[in-house]
Amino acid sequence: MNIKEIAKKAGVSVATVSRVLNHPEVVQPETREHVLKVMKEFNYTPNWFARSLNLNRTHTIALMIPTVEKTSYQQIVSGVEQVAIRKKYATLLCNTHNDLKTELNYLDMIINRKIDGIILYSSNLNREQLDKFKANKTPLIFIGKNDVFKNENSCYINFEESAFKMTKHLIEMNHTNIDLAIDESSKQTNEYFVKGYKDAITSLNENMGKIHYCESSIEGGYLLTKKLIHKKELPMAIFSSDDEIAFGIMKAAREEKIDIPSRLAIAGFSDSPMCTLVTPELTSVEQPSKKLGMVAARMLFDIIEDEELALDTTHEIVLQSTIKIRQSCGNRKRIYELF
Amino acid sequence: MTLTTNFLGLPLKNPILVASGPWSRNASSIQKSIDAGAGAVVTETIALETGVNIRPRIFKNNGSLFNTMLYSSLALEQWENEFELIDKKDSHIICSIWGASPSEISYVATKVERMGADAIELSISAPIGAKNENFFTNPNDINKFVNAAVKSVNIPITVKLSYNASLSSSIASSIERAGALGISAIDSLKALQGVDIESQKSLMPTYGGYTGEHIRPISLATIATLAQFTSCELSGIGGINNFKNVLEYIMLGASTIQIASAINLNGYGLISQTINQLENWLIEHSYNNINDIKGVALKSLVPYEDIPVKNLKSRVLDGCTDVDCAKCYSCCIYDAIIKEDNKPKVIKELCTGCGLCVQMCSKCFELVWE
Repeated sequence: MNIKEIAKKAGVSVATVSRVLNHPEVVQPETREHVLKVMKEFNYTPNWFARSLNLNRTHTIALMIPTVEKTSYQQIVSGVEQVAIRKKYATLLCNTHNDLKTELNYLDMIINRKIDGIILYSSNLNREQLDKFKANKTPLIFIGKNDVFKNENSCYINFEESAFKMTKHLIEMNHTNIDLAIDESSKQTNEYFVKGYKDAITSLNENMGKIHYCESSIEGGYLLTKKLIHKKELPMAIFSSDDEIAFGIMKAAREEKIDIPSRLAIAGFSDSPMCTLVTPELTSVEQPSKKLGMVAARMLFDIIEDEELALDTTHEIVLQSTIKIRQSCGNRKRIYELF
Repeated sequence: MTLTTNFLGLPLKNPILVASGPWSRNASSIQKSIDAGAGAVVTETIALETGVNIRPRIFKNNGSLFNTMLYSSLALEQWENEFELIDKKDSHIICSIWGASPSEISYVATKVERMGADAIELSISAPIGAKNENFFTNPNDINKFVNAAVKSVNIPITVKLSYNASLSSSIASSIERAGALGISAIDSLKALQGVDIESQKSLMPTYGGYTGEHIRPISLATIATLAQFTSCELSGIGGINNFKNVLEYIMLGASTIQIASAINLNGYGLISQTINQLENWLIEHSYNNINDIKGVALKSLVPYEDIPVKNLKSRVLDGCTDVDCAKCYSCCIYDAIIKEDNKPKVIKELCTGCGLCVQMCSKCFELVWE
């Protein structure tokens, strides 16, 4: 007899049975009594039930992210926290500063404090370190795509496809000679970014532009552009891996009296609120970051609450981003949204 | 006499469903439809993120509405709570869901199944907001998307299609191959209410979904078309205001129908009223089972190429009393109607039997064999 069969016998949903076990206080008293009676009748004890009672949950989950200084990471925090609070859980924020040592310290702390589950974003762990942590059986969800945690429960935004679509848009706006400016510190995502960009260029038979690595900041984009102008290597278009770099490119272009988009087209990434404040408004890729946080938290609670159900398979959820086409790449149409 | 029918394998007490929309936005609104006797209720679309209620968001045009609600403003966790509060009685709950990728839709499908959904309706072509353009055109992507949901749950799935997608036989067959048991058609049409010509601005801030009686003829044609090229069970949606409209859809091949904006305009009482009148009509016409009339009108539809050209021409009746009414003269683009002795006269050599004058004024004209 498993949870699904109990639900069927009791004439309620699996979620209800699960809640009778996990949060009996939120279930209607009559329903709760009825479900408990059916469980007794069929002599049902979930194998994890006793465990969760003994363990005394801390009702805390941990979210480990490489930085809290960027909007998209803040949105992930907000999404995770929004789901957690509805589940009456607190969220422990662990900022690793993209540093492996800090990450390992936090993992120890998480085990010691008996945190109920953890969401790991852009982890720097290798397989051995990961397996060591997994031995503790703390429920675990990954955000991001990485060879180390292939076949683990994970969710991520499809950067490769996003980069492909934006590059394709630039080509369709009749730009040839498109360069890519990417954040030198985002090791985990750069690979997918570059692949999407290259695939678009190759599939549309364009010439490959240059790939520039720079600091992920306004200054990074500014210095890069100044250098390109002075070396007379300025391309027709630059696609940057974040909006900050793009704003820096715009700043340098304005100083050098280079018109956007007729001489230089610019596309950003992450669709920060500032995109509509600059002139021309910046075309960018909107990432569903908050949704990503919500999805990660939901996947985590699926495991925390229903181990029996979650054990069967590993899940991988891929989210797609939306291209927000504004005026910085030559588009003149008013409503122009693509998925 | 029985209204019971089978849809997606669910034994329904009647074929009257309530469509996905703000009238199914939470437990208490869904309960109203159940209490009014609906055979099943489709929830507002549940997604991984919550929709925003822009204000104003519903625009009206005679008997039709333009709706700018994209999906539910309740989060998945809140829906779990709502589900506990619903007393299904002998009705069923179909969860409308949306996700932007196959893995997303598969996850949401699993979630709603665990909440207790009896079936799932995949909302893949709502006309509001940014959508994957592939979904409108690419049968392979639709197949992958639908199959991802089908594989992850044990409850039946119907796919809600836009008008455009419904007209493609390859899309219908890709849905069928993916394992969906039903097709719901049509979703609202992408529309704008109009332009205020003085301020030179659109009356609506963004595109809305057009529903109501003006889209019924379009949806009826779609159901008739789908009935011919898919073996999926059909749920007809679009402008159902009364029991007659229900009969129209069923006679053209629909297994069930979904009432939508009419509830918004007339209240939930419309559901019970429609069921009663439907029952009475079937009793009056000595039918024992609603399924006996399913698809009966399809036989009267003939491909354009196969319609025999009957030698019919218009003839003036004696009924014309309004000398000043000149509708018949202006509606005849063949110049076959002229005024003689203050009365219309048909010039037989010029009449091509189009039939418009008869519909303009049935007192004055009839079509007869020559």
